[in-house]
Amino acid sequence: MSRDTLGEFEQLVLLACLRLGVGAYTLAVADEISRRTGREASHAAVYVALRRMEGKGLVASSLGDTSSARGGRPRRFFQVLPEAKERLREARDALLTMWDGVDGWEGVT
Amino acid sequence: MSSHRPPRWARALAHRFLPDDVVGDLQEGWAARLDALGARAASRWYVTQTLRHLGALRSRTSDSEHTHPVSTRGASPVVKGGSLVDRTRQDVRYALRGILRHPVFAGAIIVTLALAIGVTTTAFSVWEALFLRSLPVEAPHELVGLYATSPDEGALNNFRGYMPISHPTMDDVRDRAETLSGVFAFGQYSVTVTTDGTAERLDVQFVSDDYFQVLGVPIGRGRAFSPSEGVVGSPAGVAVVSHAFWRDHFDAAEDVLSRSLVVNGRSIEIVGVAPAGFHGTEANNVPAMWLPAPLFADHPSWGGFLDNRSAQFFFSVARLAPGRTLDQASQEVDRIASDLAVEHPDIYGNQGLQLVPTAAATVAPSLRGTLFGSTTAVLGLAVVVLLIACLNVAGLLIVRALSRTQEIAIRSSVGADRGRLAVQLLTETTVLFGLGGLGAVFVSVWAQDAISGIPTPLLGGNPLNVEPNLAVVAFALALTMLAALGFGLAPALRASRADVSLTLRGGTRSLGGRRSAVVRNGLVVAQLTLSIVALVGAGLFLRGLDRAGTLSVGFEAEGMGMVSVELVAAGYTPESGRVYYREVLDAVRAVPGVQSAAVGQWRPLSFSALLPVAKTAEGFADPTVRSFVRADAVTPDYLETVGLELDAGRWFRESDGEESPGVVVVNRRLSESLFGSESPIGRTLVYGPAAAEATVIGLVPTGRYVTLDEDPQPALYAPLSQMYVAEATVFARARSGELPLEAVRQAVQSVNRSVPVYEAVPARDQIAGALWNTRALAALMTGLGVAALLLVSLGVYGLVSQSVRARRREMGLRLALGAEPTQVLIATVRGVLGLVAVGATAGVGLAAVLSRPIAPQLYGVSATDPLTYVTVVMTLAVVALLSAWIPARRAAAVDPVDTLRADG
Repeated sequence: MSRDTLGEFEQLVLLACLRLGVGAYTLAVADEISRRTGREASHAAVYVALRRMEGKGLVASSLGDTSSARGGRPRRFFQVLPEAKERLREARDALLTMWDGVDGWEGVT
Repeated sequence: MSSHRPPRWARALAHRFLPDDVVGDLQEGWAARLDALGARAASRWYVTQTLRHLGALRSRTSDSEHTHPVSTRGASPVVKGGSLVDRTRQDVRYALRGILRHPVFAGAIIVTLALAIGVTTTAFSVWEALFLRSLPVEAPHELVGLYATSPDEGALNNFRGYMPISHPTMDDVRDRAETLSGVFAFGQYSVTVTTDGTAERLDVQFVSDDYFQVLGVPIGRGRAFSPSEGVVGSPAGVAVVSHAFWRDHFDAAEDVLSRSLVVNGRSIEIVGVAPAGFHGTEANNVPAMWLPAPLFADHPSWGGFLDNRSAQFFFSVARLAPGRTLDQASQEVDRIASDLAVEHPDIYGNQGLQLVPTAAATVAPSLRGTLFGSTTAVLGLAVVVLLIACLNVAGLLIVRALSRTQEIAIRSSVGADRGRLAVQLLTETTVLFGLGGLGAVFVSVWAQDAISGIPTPLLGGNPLNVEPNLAVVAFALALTMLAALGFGLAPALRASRADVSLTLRGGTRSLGGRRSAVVRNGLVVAQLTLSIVALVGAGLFLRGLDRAGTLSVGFEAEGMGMVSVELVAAGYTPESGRVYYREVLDAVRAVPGVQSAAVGQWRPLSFSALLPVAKTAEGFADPTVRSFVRADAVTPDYLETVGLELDAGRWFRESDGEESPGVVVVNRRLSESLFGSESPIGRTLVYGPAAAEATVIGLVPTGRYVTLDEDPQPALYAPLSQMYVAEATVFARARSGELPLEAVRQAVQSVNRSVPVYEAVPARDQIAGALWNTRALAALMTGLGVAALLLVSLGVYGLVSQSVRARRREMGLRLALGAEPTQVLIATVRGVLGLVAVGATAGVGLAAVLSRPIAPQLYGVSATDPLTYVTVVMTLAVVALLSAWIPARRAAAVDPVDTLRADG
């Protein structure tokens, strides 16, 4: 598998970011994934994935304002960069291409 | 909801190790789950996520170390078969497998090390917080404390030679000293602070306007005081609040600067928030906020402090001018003191000024001695226990090395390089100690977090602010490395030198080798010696605590209770205040079960301000007899209510009113210092900043006023009618049995709902508070002593079982030749008794030397108290014999036929 392909979890994280738009910070992303997929997404896993993708130039982050509900600590908002959108599109295309023409597979053992 | 919080330890870990945004997320996620799922689920989530983040953090760090070799694809010279990194990795993996194979052995070592290093590190962190940590201010080494000195013993005792100064004195030094670039004064007082309608008593500091500027503390939010706010009569009521106050009272609200609060009935505007790490200049005086000193110049009790040279109620800190040394500044300050003595002989005639470096100590110098002695004793004992633990671990490692000689012999016989084997064994040791060290970090983070939550009476009820920092982590690391090198290295090396042919031929015969037996005996003797030291330390503190409980405190605690009131906030004047006190006493006396009630200024066994006093009626004309005493304003019922005795003369009567001639009652210590052996009755003296004249009418014994271990302090009592105070304590005594304290509190409150009524406590608790330090020390020392005893019993047990195993053949032979099982038993136990005798002798000698410095904290118990030493030696002997008995019985139960056949 090419190094440039996005992993499934990375795709979930990026898609959650896109859904949330400007309000995408780790806690919201993890909740969004959990809510939509019904799978518990660990905060730490999401955070690590986001920071790793930031290192690869797939997302950019910035600190928001502090608030007392967060003990005076800021939120880190993430923004999906064009490179990531391109890879997401590739991943979706690859999957759709592979699915195309696969019928009645559920009966196959 | 606000009572819930994520688990303390997890919070501490998160705050310490995770980025701010993650901590914020965890806090927010926790709060959301608290509402939706309840406290338990929220906490579980918080803990899991924190640990996962920590795990991710670890792997991220190690990832980044290997990023380069991986990304350069195969070009890495490091990750190749047989390379150092590869071999080390293999060794570590092998060591971890070994740990999993012998979980009990490895677990015992890791837990022992984690606890011992963790406890020692915690003790060190307390010590570091008190005596090593610099203030979080600009160039802390340039700061010096400015104190008054006095040859008068009474004053010296209370402040241990570091007396506060008056505000005018501080002004003079600031104006005249060229070697000092800045000088400020601060005084800490309890005030009533009302936020959002809730009143509470808090410690605040009244400071010079340039307090923050001289310290170089940047105000994160808002601003520091401006010079106009430092002028008497300045109308601006302003405050800089502490970070903790902002967090706890305003929920860290951004708009805090637009809020206000009420201090003693006066509206105060918040102009700034101090930065998070700044808690004032002394660990024992942590204020909730800072207020400009002139703010309470019109306070009924504190008024006139700012321009009265007799009102020595301020501490002062100065900053050395650039390029100036402490010596130069001290000489100049001495000169200023001499000038002042010429200008105001009545005030400064018997006083000097001194500068004390503050950078290396954030504890007020008057407390430093006491705290230094006790914390060093605890640290010392923790080190002793650590040594015992290390000796124990060394013993375990040696035994394990011996039991592995066969494996090692086989491996070296099939060609394993001896150096390689040594490295491998060293790796195992390092991994064990490393895990122990890691555990120690967790233990100490948890313990430090716990300590930070304990209010310490010695520090004015504030918790000691211990935080893991670089010095503490370095200390833990150094301890771990020292322990590994000192106690892990030798066993590892020894094992790698196993004699191949001998071992393979002789099976486990080498277990009983003479040299290793000597080494193991030595280890156990050393443990016995050190545990005597630990147990004697613990025993002496327990004896001291016992003795302290029997001390006479000068009042009758049983059946008495106290409630404090503060009248300034409710707007009382001296006239209306006196009426209020009368009404309060009537209300309290009407409570069923109350026999008598009185008002006094100070609680017994608590800090109290000192006032100047002199025997002459000519003001303070003869400065050499001027003393500083604890002066207490009391009502006539005080004697009976508190249970004070009267040695001579009479006590106050209702007729000793505001308009009648001034009268005072002195204690024996003051009487002796003013009048020698003559009777004080009928003599006159002057006291207080206003130099009020009074006739001595009575003499009382010298009690204990501030601490239980204080030297006899001079004290005087004056009628409240003649010395009005706006803050006082109402004392009530029960007719019989327990005092209905809550009813008393309600009676006091019922007189005027707007008067803050606080700290309703039985007198018994007041004594317990004064004993807190001794009790905490005794508990800590006992804990360490018990740990030492446990470790040494394990050590003895290990030694005897090992030697029994090694001497099975000898035992079998003896039994076969007709020895009785009891004889074998006795022979084994006798060996242990010999070790105890050697260890006890050395231990008693060592303990006698090492316990000398703690003698002043033992309330008169001698550091060589025979009862303690005898008990300790007996206890240790019994524990050692019991620990030997169990494995020794196995020796006696050996079946001679079996052993001899197995060996044949």
